[in-house]
Amino acid sequence: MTMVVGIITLLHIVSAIFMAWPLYALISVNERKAVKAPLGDETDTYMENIIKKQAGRCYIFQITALITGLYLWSRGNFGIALSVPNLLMLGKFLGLFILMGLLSYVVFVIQPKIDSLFAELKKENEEKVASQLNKLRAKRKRFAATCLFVLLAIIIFAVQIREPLSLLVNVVLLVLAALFSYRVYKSNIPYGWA
Amino acid sequence: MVNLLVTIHVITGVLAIFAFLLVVVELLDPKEKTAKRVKAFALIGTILIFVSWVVGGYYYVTYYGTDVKPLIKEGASPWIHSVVMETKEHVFLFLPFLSILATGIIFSSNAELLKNHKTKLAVLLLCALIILIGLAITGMGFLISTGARAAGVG
Repeated sequence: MTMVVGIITLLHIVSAIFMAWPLYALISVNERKAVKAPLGDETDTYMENIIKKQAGRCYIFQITALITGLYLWSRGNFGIALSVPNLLMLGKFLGLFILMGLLSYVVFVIQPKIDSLFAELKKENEEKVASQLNKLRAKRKRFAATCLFVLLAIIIFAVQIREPLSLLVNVVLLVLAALFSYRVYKSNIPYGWA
Repeated sequence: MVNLLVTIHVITGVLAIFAFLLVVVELLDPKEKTAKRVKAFALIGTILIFVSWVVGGYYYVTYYGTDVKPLIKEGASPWIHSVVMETKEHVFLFLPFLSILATGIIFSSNAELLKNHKTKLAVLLLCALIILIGLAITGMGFLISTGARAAGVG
């Protein structure tokens, strides 16, 4: 491995690690419920700002992972045939684009609605606005859980690039990833894995 | 020399994508210094696109056309040149002009950029387009270098 490939591999792995945000976002959102912070108070605004501002960082980590991944593929002598490693790589590539698409939907469609509802919160009927806000937040939470599953699927594909696992093991791992994502969606996983 | 040219072409191209990505990130969460930063990032991104264009063009004319292209065309995947490189060459031409347009809007709108929702959205869409085309170009570039290596270059 040349020095450049080593550094780019490090950058690729670190970017992927930093993309674990959906896991921590879901945990913090579930904790918000436990705190019972009233809608729009300081604690609520503090958590909302963290979630909202993470989008920019996510784009940067995703694009870093994409470009470093393309470089590593190009240097990895995988060729351009439809081999198993290349199909796995294609799966990772599509997964990353799904993540970017989901993030963009949240940033450009859901988040502006949440922001304008927050602005309305003090002017209008609080209950009506609160119910709309909670619906949008629930939708954003479902998107985060989907992102977590897609990210886990990408990692499952990534570890098999050099030595692919059997189809059955892949199915089992994907089901486990789905179950874990659902669990994180529903609870704040006090036992780490469950 | 060949490696240096390709390295400069790739690095400046990738940094240009990140420069326009930073414009998007700044506009998503505007702060006091956003207007100044957005101008700087857009200008840097545009300059980098032009550097990447000139260096890539020089490499193409001096080395690629004579040393690499014939080997790819005689190899197992001639479409790497006839489809991917041809597409890359032509689609790339959108980038310098889109980046000038985005930078021009940013500089001419000044404070309006952050106040006027439509101007902000237009700049965001332009930057998103630059980033997407840039990523597609990057992917094609890596595909071409993979094809060249498979054909026995380097």
